[in-house]
Amino acid sequence: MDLDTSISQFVGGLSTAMIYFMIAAGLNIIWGLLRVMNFATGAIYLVGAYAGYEVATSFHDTTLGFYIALLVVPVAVGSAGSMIEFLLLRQTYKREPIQQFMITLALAFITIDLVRLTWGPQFRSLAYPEPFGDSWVIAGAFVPTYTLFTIALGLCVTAALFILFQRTRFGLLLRASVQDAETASALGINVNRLKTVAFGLGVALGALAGALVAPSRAITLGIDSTVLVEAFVVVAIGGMGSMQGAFIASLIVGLTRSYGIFIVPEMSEAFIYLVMFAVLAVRPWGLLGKPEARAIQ
Amino acid sequence: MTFRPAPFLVAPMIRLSRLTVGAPAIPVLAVLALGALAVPHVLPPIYTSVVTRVMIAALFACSFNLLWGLAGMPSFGHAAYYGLGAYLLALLQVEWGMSFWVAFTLAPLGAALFAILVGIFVIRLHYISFIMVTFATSQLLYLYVRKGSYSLTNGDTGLLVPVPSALHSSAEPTNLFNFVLLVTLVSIALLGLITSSPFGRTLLAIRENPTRVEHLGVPIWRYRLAAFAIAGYFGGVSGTLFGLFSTIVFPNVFLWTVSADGWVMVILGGMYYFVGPVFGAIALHLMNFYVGRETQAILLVVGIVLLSTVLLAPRGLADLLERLTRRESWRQVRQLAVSTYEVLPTRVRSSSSRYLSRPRFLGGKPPINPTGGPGRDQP
Repeated sequence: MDLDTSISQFVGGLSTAMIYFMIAAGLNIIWGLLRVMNFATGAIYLVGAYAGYEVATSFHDTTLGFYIALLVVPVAVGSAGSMIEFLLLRQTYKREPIQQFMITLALAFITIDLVRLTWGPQFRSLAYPEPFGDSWVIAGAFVPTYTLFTIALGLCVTAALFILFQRTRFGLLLRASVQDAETASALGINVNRLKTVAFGLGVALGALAGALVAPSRAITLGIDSTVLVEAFVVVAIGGMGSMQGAFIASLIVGLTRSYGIFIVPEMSEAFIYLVMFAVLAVRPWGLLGKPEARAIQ
Repeated sequence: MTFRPAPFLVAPMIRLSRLTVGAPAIPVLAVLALGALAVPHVLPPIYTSVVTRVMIAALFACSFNLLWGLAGMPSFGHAAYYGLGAYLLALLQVEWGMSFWVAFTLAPLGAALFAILVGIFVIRLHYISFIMVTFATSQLLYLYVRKGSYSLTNGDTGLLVPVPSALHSSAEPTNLFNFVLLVTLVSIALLGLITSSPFGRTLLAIRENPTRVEHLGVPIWRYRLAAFAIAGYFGGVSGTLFGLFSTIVFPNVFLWTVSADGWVMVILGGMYYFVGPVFGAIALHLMNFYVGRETQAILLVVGIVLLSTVLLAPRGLADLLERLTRRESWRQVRQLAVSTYEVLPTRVRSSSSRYLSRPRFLGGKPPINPTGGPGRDQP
């Protein structure tokens, strides 16, 4: 592998990593407070991509439409997520945790089929928005500027999440509730409302990731399952509920994936599983996760 | 010393009849098996294949439920054992020249061996890591069979499964059906015996409180590993049955959707009932069959049914059926009717009194004899 391919793979891997981080951060926020494994993440990403396409093309100027979509889609999908938490998940917090998982699985089925019924089987593609339509040449490697935009936006989201959790009152309340929901609610924090907001936030991050990849990949049915699997791998490697872990793990997975294609092209997907096996063999609770008292349950 | 009539025979039978939580498993399975036996003779031929699929799926779901419902290990990679059963049945015959019956016996053992390997790695893991690693094992097999070993498995072209002509003759289509029924019944009965044995009760105890059972001196990892081996074995049996039934296998038997179907069947049927997965398999496949004929939106329907099951009948169809057949439930319905009647406005009540003139009989006290004859408390 020569230098220019290496560079373009590196940049591509970073942009994939940013997408994974957004989705995994959404999963982690939801897991941290609600203790729900959100199986509908892939479906949310799918909705994000299709909704991004729909909003962008509904404007005369697709570029303007796309930037509006980046703002509107996460808010809209996130509000829908909050509503679903309020209407469905909240009814089942006192039951066994696996039931909330099954609810998200059922919602994933329903969402995927609704997307298929609405948009049909043929794939869509969206033009790169201006001014990110061309490529830069960096040390002989062609790097699409949209990839750089994805990385920059991903870093902005990371910084925004950091500020939100570490520097605001909302973040303080959220962290307190994650640590001990019972005590937090005894101290007067409305944990139920926080749960609704956190679920909406997690869903919005997944939808943002979907809208963000809309111009760079073909929007088609089935993109959800790959993303779902790889986001779960990121969470497993990084450790459940750990944001820093998710960030490191998404870098590992994104780069492994983009370099793995060069080593064994047909088995490139297998590499991230092997990385996961290696990490979990040494640290069963993930890189930065906390060991819990009970395995499996 | 008291006399015990052959406890090694009778006690398991009694326990099997009220498995894990009191569901009458033997009569239910017997009725279902008799019903299935009649299907090829009564219904059109298409139903024979539908019921064959249901039986294979029922065995798959029951073997999965041993891991999840009984041992509390929500594996997401049960498709691996299913696919291994199907592919090994073909490969052992084609590549290593074994006869069908030898391959049919050995293929599930191969799946069990793989399950042990997976189990050694995953039983130390936590929740999402456990789900992800079990999932990754099946996905790795999928990738390997599809792309990694083209000369051996033919990739997406699929692999033909040689089957004996006695089981696949067009003159005697019921042979295959009866064979699948027999194998499924024997396997489910064995799973039932395992569930109700002391070994099964220990697995249940581990599910409920692993720490406590470990402190009692039980090597829980050994029990969990054994559960993996057994579940892998019977998952492999269902896979061989599928290979036998379809006579050609594609890599998609390893796909995660197979595992997800296992989850859906177990949840629909009721994971804490031994016969629950059987109900789940029937429900899912009938739904697939009838809805699939009408519309493409099968996933939507399955999703809505799954959602309503989780919200309204969280313990599944088995629990629903059990509650419906209990006498108390009818009493509850009557009481509901009476209490509804009593909160009605008086005007509505009087106008409807012609139809509901005997509310006190619907679960209330019996009427006091107005003629002053001997009442209840007079001898």
